[in-house]
Amino acid sequence: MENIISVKNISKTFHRNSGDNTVALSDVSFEVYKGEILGVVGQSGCGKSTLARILARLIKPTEGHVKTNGSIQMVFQNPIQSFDPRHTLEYSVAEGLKNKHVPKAEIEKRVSNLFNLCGLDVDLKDKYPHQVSGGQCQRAAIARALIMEPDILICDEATSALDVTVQKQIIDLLMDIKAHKDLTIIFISHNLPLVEMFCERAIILKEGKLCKIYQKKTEPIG
Amino acid sequence: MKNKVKFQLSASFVILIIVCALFAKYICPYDPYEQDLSIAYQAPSMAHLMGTDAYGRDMLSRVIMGGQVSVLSTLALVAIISIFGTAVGVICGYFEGKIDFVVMRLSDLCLAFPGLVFALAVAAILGGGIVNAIIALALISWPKYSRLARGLTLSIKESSYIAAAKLAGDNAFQLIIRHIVPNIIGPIIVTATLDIGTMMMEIAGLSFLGLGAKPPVAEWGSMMSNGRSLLQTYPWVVLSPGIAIFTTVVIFNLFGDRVRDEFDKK
Repeated sequence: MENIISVKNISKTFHRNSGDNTVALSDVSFEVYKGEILGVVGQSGCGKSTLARILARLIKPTEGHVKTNGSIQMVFQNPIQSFDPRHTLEYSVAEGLKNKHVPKAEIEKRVSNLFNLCGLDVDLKDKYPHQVSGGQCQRAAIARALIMEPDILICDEATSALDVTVQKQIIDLLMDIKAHKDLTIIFISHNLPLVEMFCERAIILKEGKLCKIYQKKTEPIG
Repeated sequence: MKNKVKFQLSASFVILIIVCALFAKYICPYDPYEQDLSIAYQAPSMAHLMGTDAYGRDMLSRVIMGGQVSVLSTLALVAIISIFGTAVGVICGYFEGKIDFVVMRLSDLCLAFPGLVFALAVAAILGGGIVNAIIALALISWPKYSRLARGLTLSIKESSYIAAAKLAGDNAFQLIIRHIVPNIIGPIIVTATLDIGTMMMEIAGLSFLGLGAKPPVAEWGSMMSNGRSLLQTYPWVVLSPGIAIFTTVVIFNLFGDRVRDEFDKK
């Protein structure tokens, strides 16, 4: 299978002003195949979000390197906090296109299409994050990520802050999007059953180290 | 009284003061600079509501005209220090590193020095005049805003929406203008509003000490300074600008409190 991300021996240490160093990741290597849904599982504090931020190039690893063959977008854990409270959902969703100098009419059309695709009422475009529910906000966050037409979508605990029924809706939405678009998804969660259900392969992190890689068909999780 | 009514009431007084300051020339009942020694030191009367000074100038007219210098110079000073301090603080907080270290040590230096003493030294070097007084106070007063803006920037720059904006392709300038400044501006505005009263007192203080506005320019601090020896004989010469400073500072402070209440609501 074709690799879309290759992670080689990455480590990340956070240096605190107090002099204490926190090792978030230590010598992690794995590969992500094009078109797959890869789960990243582990307890809180095991380095999942650090790994996500390194993959999305929001932070640099202390050691090692990441080779990526495609654009990456990310969906964050807390949907409401992942939107700027001073801007409407439409502004935040369309921001990436504005940066690419896409014409205004085209932006409006694409935002409306994505709102429809993500199951959002187009009237919500003018709402602020605090004016919509967590589920609606997470759908908007997925729309924001997809509007950039990424090759890879990282979902960092994208369902953790939502109640169970909304979690199911978001997973269904991601499955639906996956079916329509040639998308590679990295699904980060501490919820093993959810990862088992949703992902084809999963890596398990423990205390910053990769301790196992599971393949769904040959070695089911659980 | 409901908070909204209190806010509207204090805002109305502030607007009234600013309008009076802007249109002082048209509101003054007499020419504030016209001397008439035959009516010097007249006590408050219907003709001269706040009496007259040593040169027979109408005190009410001078207080109104003095408001133009005092209020507008204070607003200019607060605008300068809040905009400059915020810009410096946001840049330091966002980029951190060496520039942050150097600028923050510089601001520590300013904060460690007694403000008015430093301003006195700067004003003495630059010479008297209201512009130099503003420069002197601006040099010592910006660190408060840079510290505040830096702290706020550090706290929000790690938030998810900043990460999302980075992934959307925002560069540092776009992040600062679109996301950081709009989210930190509330506390900055509150601080600036509450600072107006303090700065007005400091400008008046410098003028009182002869390092601000120079006679014959009507300015509340220098008017008090000119009349300080007359407190027991012709008290209105000192009390008129004194009451003007007191009232204006109280109104701006009350307005600052109301602005803070409005921002704290969320």
